Amino acid sequence: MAETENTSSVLAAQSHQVAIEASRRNKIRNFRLLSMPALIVLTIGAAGPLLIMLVYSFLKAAPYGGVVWEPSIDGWFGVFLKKDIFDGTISIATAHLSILWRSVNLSIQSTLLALILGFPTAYFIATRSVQTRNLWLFLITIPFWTNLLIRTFAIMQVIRDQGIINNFLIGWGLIESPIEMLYTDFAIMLGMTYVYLPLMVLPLYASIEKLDFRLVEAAYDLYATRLRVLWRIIIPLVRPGIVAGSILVFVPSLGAYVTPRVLGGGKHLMLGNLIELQFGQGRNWPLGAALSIFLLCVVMGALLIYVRVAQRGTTEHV
Amino acid sequence: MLQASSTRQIAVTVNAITKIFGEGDNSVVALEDVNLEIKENEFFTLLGPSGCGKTTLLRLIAGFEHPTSGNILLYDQDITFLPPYQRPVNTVFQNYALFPHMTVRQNVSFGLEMLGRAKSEIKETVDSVLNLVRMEELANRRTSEISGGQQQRVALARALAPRPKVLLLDESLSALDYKLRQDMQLELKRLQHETGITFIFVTHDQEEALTMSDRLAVMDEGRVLQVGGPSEIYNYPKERFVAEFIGDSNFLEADVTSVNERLVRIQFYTGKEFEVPAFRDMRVGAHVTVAVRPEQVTLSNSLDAATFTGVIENMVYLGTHTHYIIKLSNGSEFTAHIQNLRGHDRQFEIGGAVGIALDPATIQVLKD
Ligand SMILES: Nc1ncnc2c1ncn2[C@@H]1O[C@H](COP(=O)(O)OP(=O)(O)OP(=O)(O)O)[C@@H](O)[C@H]1O
Ligand SMILES: [Mg+2]
Repeated sequence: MAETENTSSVLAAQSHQVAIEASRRNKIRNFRLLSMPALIVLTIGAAGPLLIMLVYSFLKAAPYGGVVWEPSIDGWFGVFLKKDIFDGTISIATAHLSILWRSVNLSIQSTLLALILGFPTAYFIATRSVQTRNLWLFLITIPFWTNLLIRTFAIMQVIRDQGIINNFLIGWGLIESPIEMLYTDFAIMLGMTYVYLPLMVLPLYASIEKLDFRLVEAAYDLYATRLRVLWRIIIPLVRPGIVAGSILVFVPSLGAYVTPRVLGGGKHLMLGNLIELQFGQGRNWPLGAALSIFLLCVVMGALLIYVRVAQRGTTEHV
Repeated sequence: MLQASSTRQIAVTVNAITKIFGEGDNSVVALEDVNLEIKENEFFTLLGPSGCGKTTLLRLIAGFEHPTSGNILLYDQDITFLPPYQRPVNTVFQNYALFPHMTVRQNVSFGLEMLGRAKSEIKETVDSVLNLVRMEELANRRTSEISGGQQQRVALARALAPRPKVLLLDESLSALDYKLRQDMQLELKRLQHETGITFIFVTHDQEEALTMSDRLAVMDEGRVLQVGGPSEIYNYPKERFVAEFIGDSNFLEADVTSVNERLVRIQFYTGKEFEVPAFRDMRVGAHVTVAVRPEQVTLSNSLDAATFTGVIENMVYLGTHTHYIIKLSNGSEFTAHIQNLRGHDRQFEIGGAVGIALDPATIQVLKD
């Protein structure tokens, strides 16, 4: 008797729970209505242009820019292959592939450099006292307030032939003729690292700040030297920050336009410049659109691989 | 037994350690001239209220802090400025500090790996240590997937696996519930016995300190007030703080009426005189405070023979004992814990007059 009473009261409690759940869901549905403006903006601002690009990439180029509404795969054809103007032979578009390679390569390099520079910086900031931390973070974000172009020109002043570095080295008699740095791949890499460094430091800082330093002490206590503490404890624990920072630097680097334009001097194109070329002087919008979608796929592919690899480290059980 | 323990080697020597945090006006003296000698395979406890410097002393022994002055020896080696990873000393942290990105087994292996031991040796040692703390079944769980008590055991296993010379435990049991805590107390004693490692245990729980320790040091405000075995500390507290912190005590004022070599005569305000051992220079006419444990007095209805007389203000029946709060004739309060015997209850009433009799052996003269 007592038992049945018990079960029925449990059932009653459960059905009560269900009712509460249902009403909560209703409330959430109402909230969805409130999120409509955001959805509209997202559709118009993000999905829309992408869709237009996708459509354009499958149309014919108009002679003076724009598109002709005729289905064609010329755009996509041009991404990977090229047709000789005179004899019509088809070959692989090596120029595009080398630009793709340079873009990926330089982006990886600047991501790595940003990580190498950003990690100690973030670690330094995260281990200051709370008041001074805010000052350091403020200093890190100051470059964001300056126009990208101006910052890029500033880098130019540092590395050009009569720039600060070369003048300094020549002045001290360390070298005789200036080291050529401007208008090289190195200049582009350096510029992108500089421009996107804060995007590496901030997520790293957020991760390191959350790090429980008692774990570091525990590792020291268990005979781990400083370097081993870094490898075995700190880096695995701040991995989310490393992943986030790397993505935030890699993605805009891959599509960078201003920095390679200014510091590469037009000789060293990256994907962003190539795309711009198609919409501008090239007057080949379908190719530009196809290249854009292609860039998007490269980014997504790279991120997928990266996140996979990064995750494998955290879940492995030995 | 006493013989054996006194001939034991000294494992840790804390020599005139002073530790000051910060500088100038906002500096904090965490430890002041602390001297300790902790013997090999001893269960030594640091007991004291919050902020008295227990953790600081432990951190100095572990190597996370360096003293402002003084030095620390491990056997004959001066380890004062050695980094933590060069000391054969391991810590069980209060919050366990298990590595969250590793399994139980990986946590326990960590120290041995860092010492560069062979894989097969690591596996063997880790298996035996996990067995010791009864965690072998959960070896492949992540540390977030085990209970608090289990985490505690993993932390213990992790610190024991490299076979340290000294194991430091900082309030290691305070986060556990009562039952688990009692189990772990027994387990710790068993481990200490089986491993032969010197344990330095920090707690602010006097009961825990008394039940577990071979010897303990009572600390307050950065100083070590008294070091001794549990019964020595309980029965012969040298200072008022010790008598107050460990168990309950009645504090009574008395005057010294005569002094000879070993004994002094003290007189209470009631005129009753007692002869007690003199442990320091005392002059006739000096004023002393003595401590008397509430359970070491007897109450009676005969007021004439009593040392003190008073009126029962309150009584609390607790089964084995009854606690009496008595207002003495000079106005101060006196507590007596009297064992209940069948047929002798209802002997005293609230509001009734009562006589308190002291045995000279139970009177402890305190340093002032
Ligand atoms: N890093 C530090 N900087 C400044 N003061 C400190 C530091 N560590 C400890 N102190 C101070 O030193 C004193 C002793 O601290 P400690 O942590 O050793 O106390 P404790 O006995 O372990 O206390 P609890 O029982 O609360 O853990 C305290 O006054 C504390 O504020
Ligand atoms: Mg403490």
